Amino acid sequence: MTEEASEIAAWRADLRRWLEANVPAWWQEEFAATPFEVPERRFEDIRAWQRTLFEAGYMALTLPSEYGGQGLTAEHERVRAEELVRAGAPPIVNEVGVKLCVPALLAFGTEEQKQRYVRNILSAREIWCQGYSEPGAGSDLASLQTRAVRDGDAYVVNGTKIWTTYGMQGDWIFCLVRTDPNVRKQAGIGFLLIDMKTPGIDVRPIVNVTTDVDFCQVFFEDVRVPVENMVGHPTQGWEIANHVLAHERGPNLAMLRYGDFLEQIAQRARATTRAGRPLAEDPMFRQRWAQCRIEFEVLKQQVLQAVDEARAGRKAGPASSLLKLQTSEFDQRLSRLANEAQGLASQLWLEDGIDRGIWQWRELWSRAYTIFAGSSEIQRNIIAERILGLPRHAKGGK
Amino acid sequence: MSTLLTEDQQLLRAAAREFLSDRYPMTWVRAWIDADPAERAARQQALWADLASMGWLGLLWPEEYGGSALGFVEQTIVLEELGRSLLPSPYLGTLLGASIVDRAASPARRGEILGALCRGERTLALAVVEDAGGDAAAFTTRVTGPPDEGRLTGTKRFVPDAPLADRLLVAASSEDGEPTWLWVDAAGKGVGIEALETMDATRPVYDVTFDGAAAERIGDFAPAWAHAQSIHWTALAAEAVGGCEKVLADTVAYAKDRVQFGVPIGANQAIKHKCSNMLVRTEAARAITYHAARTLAAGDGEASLAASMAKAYATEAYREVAADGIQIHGGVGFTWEFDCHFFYKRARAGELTAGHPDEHRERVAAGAGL
Repeated sequence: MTEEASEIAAWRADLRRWLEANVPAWWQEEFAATPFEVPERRFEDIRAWQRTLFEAGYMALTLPSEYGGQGLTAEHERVRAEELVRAGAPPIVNEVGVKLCVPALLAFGTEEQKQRYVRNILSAREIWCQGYSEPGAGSDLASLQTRAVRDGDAYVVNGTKIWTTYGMQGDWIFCLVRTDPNVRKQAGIGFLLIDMKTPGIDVRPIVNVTTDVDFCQVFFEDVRVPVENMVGHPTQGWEIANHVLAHERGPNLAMLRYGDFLEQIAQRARATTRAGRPLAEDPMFRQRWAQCRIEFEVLKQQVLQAVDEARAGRKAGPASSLLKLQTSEFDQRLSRLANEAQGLASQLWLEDGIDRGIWQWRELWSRAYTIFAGSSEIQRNIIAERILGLPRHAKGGK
Repeated sequence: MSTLLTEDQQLLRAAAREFLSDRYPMTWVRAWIDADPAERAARQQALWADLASMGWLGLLWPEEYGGSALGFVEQTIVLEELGRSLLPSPYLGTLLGASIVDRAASPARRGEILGALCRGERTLALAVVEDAGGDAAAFTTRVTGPPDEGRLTGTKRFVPDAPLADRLLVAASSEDGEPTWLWVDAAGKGVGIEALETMDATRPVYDVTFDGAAAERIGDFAPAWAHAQSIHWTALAAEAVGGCEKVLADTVAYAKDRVQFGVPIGANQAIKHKCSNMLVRTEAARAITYHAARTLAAGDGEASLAASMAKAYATEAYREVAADGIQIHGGVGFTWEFDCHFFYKRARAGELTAGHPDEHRERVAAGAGL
């Protein structure tokens, strides 16, 4: 083993021990089997988990230490991702801040901005929201209308953002705002950091199909934002958003645990009766289960391949659309199968449902996976245009 | 174990693709389809010498027999490229026959036969299936007499590429009721090969009848067959991946070129989304197929199930991708002149052969203890 490899192995062993001692018990009890969406009532607990990770030196491994990072390598990052999955650790609460805002600040922010925000994002001391989508700007994000008009030493912001996760708890929101309405729509956008406590901001929760409040609509009425909160040039927002996106879509290692779910589904199917015999003996069900098992193996191999490619220093680029598309659609089939395995009980919900209705809840949530972060239709356009080189579709408007 | 191809493996792929597209383009395949048996045999001889000179006949076999002792990943790369080219040849049958000889034959016969195979002196076809299917317990083909001078009687069905092979590996019941592998001269007395009209003209199948044909006992049926089946399933998956990739490339090129309503048809989302799905299916098929190849290469006990997964997924994907290829080509996709139909027919044959995807899914379910 090279010196580097043995150093990594030792680091992995430390991390593994640390995780065994520190992954919270409440998480193991309630969510370890289905580590996905975290309910609102656990918000402060999940926030504390990120702080614990940060204080132990397991956040932002590749960032320099002056911004709260550890100055380690991409290989450490990969090992960390593997060990978090292996330990069944909770997700982090400030994910959009860490994955989207921090890279934007590091690449385009001033030194003051980096010092002011990055550490507080990593430690979850300040919770960040993402302000991109608007009621009239979903898939066609660049047509966004929220205006930021310069007035002395401030921008005055008017408009509304929607699908804002943690809108109720958020301390800050990074927004794409229209700074110049008179140029091509992508060219007149800025990337602005807004304190959620500023007068003129109104946050209204949106109840989703699972009856949870997971996201909100945020209204801005004459909200004054200091000019120093603009990241980069006031018309650089689209470039910043794209830069961050290109760095965002790493392979989702959490899906490597889906094999456990398939085993759980098989067990459930043995206990459920259909037409007088165990559902697990029904040939049609067996076909559907096996198809999911095969599709899981396909995705697992593709995720491992993406990891190997990242290790080899290759950028994922538009190929990450393939994984996003497949994973989200597979999720829908898997959760439907899990509910089929419950028989009539699958119509029960929450406390009356099997395993607190987690699969019912996941089946509903899986409908969102093919919509957010670029709908399946948008992903198919990206694949066709950027990988296969088919002509871009005719775009209306400016 | 990395999921990425090594530099050498990438070079092997590039060389294979260049060689096949230069020397064996679709015009060669079409000429072969139109040729009479004598002409086919002549073309086959030249082709086989070419494949031997590329080193593709001994990829898996030890260097002492003239092989290159590479692994299943390299073998899968070559099979993928052969699938892409739709090249009619006894390559797959010879590979499977060799794997059976490798596992079942005595050391002396193994050395002789593998050596001849690596030198390109032998081509093989596998005769297993009967009217009742491939179940060894139900074989009606029987061998009698001593191991070196057996007499074989019965009928095997759906034998691919039989007239291109000079030896047949035949699965038959022996007198003690145990199924066994037999080595039979394809041109020998008492061997009748009957041509069948086959939808997939690039891999025709034949009925082979044995009427007291001389047969040499090679070894026990079951252990060698289990391994050969894993190779067969992975190989059909690899051919499917190659076919998918070619259909997709041809279809995307057509969608960029064909103009309707003043724009290339590929500018329409209906076409784009179909093409995207074709790519998704192709890449997924590739991922599971190379997983099976790596599992085989590692000699892993999971190889059989991994091969079943690859067979089920990739051959089904190929049929769908080939069908979409015809659809996007529109009217010309339904003509003999365009190549779409050859891929669809090969895809359909591959899906049916060696276990329908439904059978493989059932294996996967049973293998997981469901």
